[in-house]
Amino acid sequence: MEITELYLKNFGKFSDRHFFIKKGIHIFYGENEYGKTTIYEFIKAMLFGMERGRGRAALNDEFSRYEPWDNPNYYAGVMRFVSGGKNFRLERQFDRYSRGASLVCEDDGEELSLEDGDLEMLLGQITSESFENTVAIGQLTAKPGSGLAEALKNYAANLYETGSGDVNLSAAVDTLRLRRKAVEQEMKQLADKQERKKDTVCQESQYIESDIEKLQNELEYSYEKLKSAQGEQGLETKSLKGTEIACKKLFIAGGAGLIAGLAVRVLTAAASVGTGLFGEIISLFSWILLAAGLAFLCAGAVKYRKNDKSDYRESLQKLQWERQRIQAELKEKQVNLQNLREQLAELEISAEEAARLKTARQALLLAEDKMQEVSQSMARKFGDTLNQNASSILEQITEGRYTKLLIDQQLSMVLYKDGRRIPVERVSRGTMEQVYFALRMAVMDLLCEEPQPIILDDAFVYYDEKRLKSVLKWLSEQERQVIIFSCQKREQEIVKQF
Amino acid sequence: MEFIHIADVHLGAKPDAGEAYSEKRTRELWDAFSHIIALCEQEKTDVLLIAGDLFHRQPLLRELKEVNYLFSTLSHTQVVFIAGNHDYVKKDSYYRTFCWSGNVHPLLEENMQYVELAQMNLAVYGFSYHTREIHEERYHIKAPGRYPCEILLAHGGDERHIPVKKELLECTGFDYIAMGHIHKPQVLVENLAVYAGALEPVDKNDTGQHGYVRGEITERGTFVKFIPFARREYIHLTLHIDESTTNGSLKDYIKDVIKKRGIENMYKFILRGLRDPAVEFETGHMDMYGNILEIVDGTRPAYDYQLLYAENKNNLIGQYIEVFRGCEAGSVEYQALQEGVQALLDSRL
Repeated sequence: MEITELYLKNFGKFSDRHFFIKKGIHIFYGENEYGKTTIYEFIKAMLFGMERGRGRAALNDEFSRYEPWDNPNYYAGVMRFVSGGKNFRLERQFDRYSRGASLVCEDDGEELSLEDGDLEMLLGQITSESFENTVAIGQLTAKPGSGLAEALKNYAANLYETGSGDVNLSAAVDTLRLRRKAVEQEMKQLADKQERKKDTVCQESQYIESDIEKLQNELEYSYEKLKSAQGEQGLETKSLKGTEIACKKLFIAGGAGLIAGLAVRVLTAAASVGTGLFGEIISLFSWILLAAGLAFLCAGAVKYRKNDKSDYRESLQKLQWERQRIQAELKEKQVNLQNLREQLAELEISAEEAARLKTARQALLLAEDKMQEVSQSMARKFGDTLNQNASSILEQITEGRYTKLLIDQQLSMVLYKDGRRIPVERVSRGTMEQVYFALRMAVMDLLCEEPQPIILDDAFVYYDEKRLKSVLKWLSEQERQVIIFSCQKREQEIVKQF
Repeated sequence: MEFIHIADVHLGAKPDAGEAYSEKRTRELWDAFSHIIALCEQEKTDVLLIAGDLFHRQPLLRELKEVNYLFSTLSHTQVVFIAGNHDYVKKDSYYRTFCWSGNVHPLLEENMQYVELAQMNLAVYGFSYHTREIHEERYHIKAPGRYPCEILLAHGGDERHIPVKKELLECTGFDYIAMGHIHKPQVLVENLAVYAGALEPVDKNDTGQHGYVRGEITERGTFVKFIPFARREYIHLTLHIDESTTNGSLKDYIKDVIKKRGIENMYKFILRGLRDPAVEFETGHMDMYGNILEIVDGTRPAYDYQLLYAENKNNLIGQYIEVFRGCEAGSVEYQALQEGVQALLDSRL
């Protein structure tokens, strides 16, 4: 692609202003405030359009910055360019009332459609985001706090590993690792939580288990007690029988005594003898018989009471009740324990979250792997060519002073000067700028099929006369169009000499 | 004859109900059950039908005593129940030995049995689970037709718990089939075979309303109605995320939604849609009321992979996307693609 004309109808400070761009090297020279950046932004706006930001962002966005100074409702421009041998006219209105764009092929009058992406096709790879990284080249800039050599090395490493100066493999891999660590941490926490839940259930089960053991011991003890009680009873029943017989004997004797005593008294009364000593003796005898009978009866009753079976029965009953209570409690505990075991088993099954984390971890591992793999294969395919092309460019623009530029597998960059290795940290600022330039040009050659114009924005400030001359010479030999913005007259003067 | 039909009360369960409610949830299940008993007493309901899974696991003796006490407070209502797959009648189950109050009629045999409630001209049929699972279809039966009114208590309906065919239930001849096991209340056959559903939701997937079935059998036929009763509800909601959604706005959104649908309920949110790639939702920090069980982040970063590929064909981003071309959304590969692209884009200076 080659830009032939910029027509700033009304854009920033310019209105109704034509710039015709030459083939080869075109230089915009101007002192500060000339409007170089405005032209640069105009090219960008023409190629990619310009949207008005929303809300607060609108205050300082490009749309507002280049809103025409006079008559802001008329905000438009035209760009003519050649692509694939055909002439095109691209017109855009930026203001909010008549916003629109048209693209016409001037050779056959065909109207192309921006909506269908015809312009993107003509532009090839370049998008609004990558415009500044491919087409436009400024000075080498370092991030605050890091050296210029580091910035250059990073750029080269990124190029070598990722094919793009600003995509950083190691940073991306680090991010993935950190993410994975976070996921692993989460997995651990989840496992801990699950474990804690399990622990509480386990603990509860343990309490119940120990209760069960206690109850079982109690049960055994009570069984022993019962058995021994029953044994005693067995022994005693024998002796009981003896005492029972003795009791019976006593009762019988007592009964007989009473009956005999009473009979004697009745007889004596009936005979109504009551005379003499004989009568007295018989009466006394009857009394003695009665008293003896009563005594035997009492003794029998006392003995019988003493050996009462109901005592044994009662304590036996108590023991059995106790056993029943223990057994009931034991069963309750056992059911409870089984329920808890079921609960524990169910706890292990629920693992939805764990599965999600596992997948996330797998995905992150896979991402890391694939990224390394892709990068290595890119470096193999792309690295050698990049080294070669950049070396040849560097050699030309330094007039053979540096013959080789090499980025090795460890991503350190060295220059070869008269066959000597020089780490890039040791060269001057100007040389660094040239290495950067060589790399960027080499990449562009590799990436873009159709040569795209390049825009150099104050890129040569650190170049000495000699090197500037060789760079410009090299650029003039290229097929692509070169647009240089500069606030110095040097470039113009040198180009005039060609 | 009026009845109330409940099922799947799951007494003793410990459902996950979020930080705020989990602890008292077990108690709430008991409360719900005793409220139903109180309701029966208040309305002088004729029969309370419990279609299985009254308990979450094997009932303890003290639990049976509690339940029996509650039953015994009913001055009019007759209670008929069966055991389901959760509280199945194990070999040494207390169900086998427990002595119930006079108005309680358990149908705990393994085979079909019935209880006759003469004063209502009613017989209730049913049998209980004696194993955790029953795979045979056991409800292909006919009502004997010996009583004016015949009700079947049934528990099951999935393939491992007595599969049920709707068409066959239609022609069993029962006046009503009180069903349990499926926690979601639903009508299988209008005014005939109805799942009362769990009285209170007992699992985080028991979404929607829960309650009991109130019914009446007269000469004109059977009429039943589902009555919502549960104190809390599990609600699953899909929230649609777009590129403007941030952690703050999502949190406010969730707060609003919960306020509107009720703080007493328990929530699961599923996030869908395309999110700003730079935003990562902190789903663990959105639970203002302690009633969010889960927030599933199913959003995808709003990358247009086709476009990204076109823009980065020659660098690592493009090549990386190329490796994963054609992988299915939701797969591990797709997730790897998302993570990798995100990391690469973030790595840009």
